[in-house]
Formats: sequence, C-alpha cells, structure tokens
Amino acid sequence: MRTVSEDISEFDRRVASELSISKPSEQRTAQVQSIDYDKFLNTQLPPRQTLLAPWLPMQGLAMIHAPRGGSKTHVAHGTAWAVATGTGFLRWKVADDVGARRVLLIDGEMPGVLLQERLARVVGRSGFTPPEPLFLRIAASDLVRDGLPDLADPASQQFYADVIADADLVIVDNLSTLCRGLKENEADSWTPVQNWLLAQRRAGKSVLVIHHGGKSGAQRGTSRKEDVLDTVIALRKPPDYQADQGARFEIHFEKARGFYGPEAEPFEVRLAGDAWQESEIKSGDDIDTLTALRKQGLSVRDIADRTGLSKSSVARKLGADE
Amino acid sequence: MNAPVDALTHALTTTRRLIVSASSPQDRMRALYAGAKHARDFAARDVVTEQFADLARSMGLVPGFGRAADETLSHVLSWAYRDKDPFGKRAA
Repeated sequence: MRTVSEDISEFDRRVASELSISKPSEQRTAQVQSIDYDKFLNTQLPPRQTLLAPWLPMQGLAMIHAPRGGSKTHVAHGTAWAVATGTGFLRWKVADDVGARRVLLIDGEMPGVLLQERLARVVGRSGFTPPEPLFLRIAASDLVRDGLPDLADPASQQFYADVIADADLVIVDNLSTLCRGLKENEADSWTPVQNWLLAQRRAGKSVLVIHHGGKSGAQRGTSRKEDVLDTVIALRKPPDYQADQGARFEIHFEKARGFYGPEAEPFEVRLAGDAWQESEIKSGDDIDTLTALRKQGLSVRDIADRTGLSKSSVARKLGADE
Repeated sequence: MNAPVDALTHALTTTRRLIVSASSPQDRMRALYAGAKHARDFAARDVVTEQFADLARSMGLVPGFGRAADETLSHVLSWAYRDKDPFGKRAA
C-alpha cells in the first residue's frame, strides 16, 4: 500500500506528464497561401461523389426540415440505413463505387424505446444489413444519464470528437434538442454550429441536420443556416392529408446544389404497411386546396406551379378567400 | 514546519495552481480534468467530484464553459473519473 507522500508524488508526476503531452500544438503556424489560376485549373482534384444520390454529397452538408410529426425521423433513419448498407432509400441510391459507409446517428429527442422500435422497423423493411454492425452507430440522449452535450457550445463540441471520428455521415436529429444554446432567430448564435459543421466537412465527413419547420413552412429560425448547406429538403403534408394516413408527405428540394431537373423535382411518399410508395404530386385547384397550400407557406408562384393555374388566378381566388 | 496534508488536499492545491497558470480556457479545463482524473483514488467518487466541482466554481471556470456550463463541468469530471478523454484526438 502506498503512503500519502507516494500518492502525492505519483499525482504530481502523472498530472505533469498528462499536461505536457497535451500542450496546445494546433495553433496555426502556416500563412494563408494562394495559387495561380492556371495551376489551380490543372490541379487534379478527386471528383465529388455522393453518399446518397443525388442530394447527399460526400463531404457535404444537408438539412431536412418539417413541422412536428412531419416524418423527419422516418427520412433520417431511412437515409442512415441506406448509407450504412450501401443500398438506397425512396428514389435515392448509393452508387456502387461508393458502397456502404459508416454512419453515426445522434438523437437528442426520442425516448430510447421508441428509437429502438423505429430502427427495428427500418431494419425489418430493408432486407439488407451493413457489412458490420459498427457501420451504423447510435448516440442517443435518452441513453446517457446527463444527456448529450450542447452542440451549439464550442466547449462542449469536443465531447463528440471520439464518437464522430470514424463516421462518414453524421446525422444530427435534431437542432433544437442537440443545439440547446442556439437562439434560432439570431444569426450570430448559429456561428458555433456552422463552424462545427464546416470542421466536419474539412475532416471529410458529411452531416445531415434534422430541423423543425416553422409555421410558415420554412425551416425555423434564421435563414443564415442555409448558407453553408448543399441541400435543404422540406417535408410537407399534402393539402388533402388526413391524420389516419400516418406517414404521408411531400419531399421538396428547397436548395439543390449540384443537381437539377427531374432529380430535383418534388414527389410524394407514403408508408403503406411495410413499404414506401412514391407518386407524383397531384393537386386540385379548388379553394380549399389553395388555402391549405397557402397555410403551408407556399408562395402564390409555388401554388401556381403546382396547380397549373396562373399566378393571377391563384392570387384572385386566395384574395377573395383571405 | 508545514502541517501534513492529505493527498486530495494536495491534488486540489496543485490543480488550483495549474489552473491559475493556464493561459486559455481550454488549458484551464484540461488542468481541472487532469487533476480530477489523477485524484480519483484519493477519496470516494462523490467527494472527489464535489471537491473539484467546487474548485471550478470558486475559480470562476464554469461561466467559461459556455451556455451548458454545468453540464459541461459534469461531463469533464465524469469522464475524468472514468479515465476517458473528453477532448478528442489532437493534431500532431
């Protein structure tokens, strides 16, 4: 048994050793450099690939937003499983030359039992499994006694370093619960989160952020969030949606960097039993439909595009009703 | 002649000195973590954790931990007790 003085000596030695090992060594020493344009154009850069084509780029940042009960988690889990198994989800595919990639799902909201139930359904529906179980790992707030650290706090972000280290895709579900210090309407408070997202991208990772939609149908809070994102997806309830239809929603690409045309067209999906069904978005042009679309935050132009009516007709009908 | 001290008191005194001499909030947190980690066998867990939490508060460290300050402090001390590194891999 050691004496107190031996304990003290050993303490001093270990603490000194630990702190000398971890002296700051990451302060920037290199100057910012530039490169001539012709050299830059002739530089061989790796082609940009997608983890889930067309919308989730490798080393990319994406957001999915929807109102409460808007099936955000369905899409988050489906995306996680598709990337971890190297397969696909809905009409989106993982390219053969990309294959299965490691995914970390950070859940800040869902009770553990419900999360387990939801994931079990995704696994059951799939028929595929990842190459190894560690291709999909879960960090859930409900499974940690003290909850998960605040991602909006720079001092707390480092607690995620170990768990994120091996992941190719990090899914943050969702901003409100994992970025508790974020004041959603203040652009400045977004900066620490944005810096963290950009750091993940520099480290070669993709991040998918799940966020609540506001009453207007847009994502909640400052639009500055969208600046650094490659893709923003809005999930909206169809105007004729009934509560007993469960997971039925429309997928709209509000920001689509690097893809366009048919790939960026909106579509509707519905979970029927254990299978997802896709369809084109159809819409009537009666006043109830127009009003429902307006309440979802669609502009007159969006409603006109969707219904086939002219903008003036939409405005006139809505004007008479509003 | 100096009065004899127990190991935990020595650890707290040394950690306080290290925190004072640290030049950044990050280094102050590392000093707190290192002290708590290597003092974890000097008393029962709740005693060590409470003493180091009090040290952090008395030195004004906690507000520097950001908005989730109490939670961050709790994490640092919890990870120190479990000998786990909360700071992640550092650049070489």
